[in-house]
Amino acid sequence: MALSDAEVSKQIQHMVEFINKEAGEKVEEIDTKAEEEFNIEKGRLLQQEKLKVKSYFERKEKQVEMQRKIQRSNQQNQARLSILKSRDDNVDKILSDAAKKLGEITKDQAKYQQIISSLIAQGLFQLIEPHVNILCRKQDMEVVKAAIPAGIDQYTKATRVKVVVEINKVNFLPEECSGGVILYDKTHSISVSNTFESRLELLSKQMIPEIRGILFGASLTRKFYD
Amino acid sequence: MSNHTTNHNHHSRKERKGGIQELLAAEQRAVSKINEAKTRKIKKMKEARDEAQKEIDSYRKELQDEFEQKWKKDKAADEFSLQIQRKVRDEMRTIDSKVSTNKKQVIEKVLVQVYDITPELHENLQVSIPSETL
Repeated sequence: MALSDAEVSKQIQHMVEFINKEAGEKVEEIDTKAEEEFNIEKGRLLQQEKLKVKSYFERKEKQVEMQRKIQRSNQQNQARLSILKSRDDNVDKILSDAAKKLGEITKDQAKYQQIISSLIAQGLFQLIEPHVNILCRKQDMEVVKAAIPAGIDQYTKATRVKVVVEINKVNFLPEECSGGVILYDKTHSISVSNTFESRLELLSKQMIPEIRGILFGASLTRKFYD
Repeated sequence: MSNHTTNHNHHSRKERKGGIQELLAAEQRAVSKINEAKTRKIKKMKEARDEAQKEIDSYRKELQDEFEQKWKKDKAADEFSLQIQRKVRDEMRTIDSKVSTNKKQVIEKVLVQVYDITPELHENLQVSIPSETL
């Protein structure tokens, strides 16, 4: 049998209340969950991003530190190089000063003649040729002529070999060179340059360590002397 | 009586219709309340991200300031480079003084070597062979 109006109304009221209650619970549940997830999400993001930021700055710091180290090392290197360069320049300067004084000995004729003799002998020793020509400065012709016998003498004594030595009377060493001779064999295929300039050049290569030693004291870092 | 009954029936139908309406409205309200809550939740999540971003930005700024404060001026480096310059200057001065003291000695030594010639036969040369030509 049909329900009475009052009962129906009560029933409906009941259902409406139920719906409201359910909805209220659901809303509350969503809100609570939203609050929870808010905290979780924010915390997660903070932790993750802060870590990123921190490691970014740590990296940056390391980079700067590294850069500064490199910069220092470059500076140090630059300084060392400039000192070494200054030493080298000084050695070069001294050698070029020495080169300017090379010719002074020629003023002492006796001494110069003796030196030429030795230069000729040394050239002969190296050539070991029966016929040798000499190139000299025009102004040295007389000295060289006078020096030849002593040179040949030294050579013959040591080797017991005869040798003919002639001065080239057509070509000469340039007048502005500081002295000495060039010896060559008859065919012009071998020659020994015994000018003062070439001797200085040869010697300065060998003597640079010694020169440095005299100038600046012995190297503290050098390990080998051969 | 019958009239009353009809009247009652009519009234009851009307009541019932109103009841269903009421239920539907309640349902509707519930759905929209829940949807509002869902929208709130989405908004809340966005807020979480925004707030986090804000805090991260200020954290980054803090570190940036700290970093700049720390590395802005490298006093040690300035001092280091001054020290090096001083060292180089001192060393150059030492070189100059050593050179001016020892220069003459070196030049003399070099020149003596240039003029000091010791003619020598090559050690491999056999003197006995060319002696026949004498």
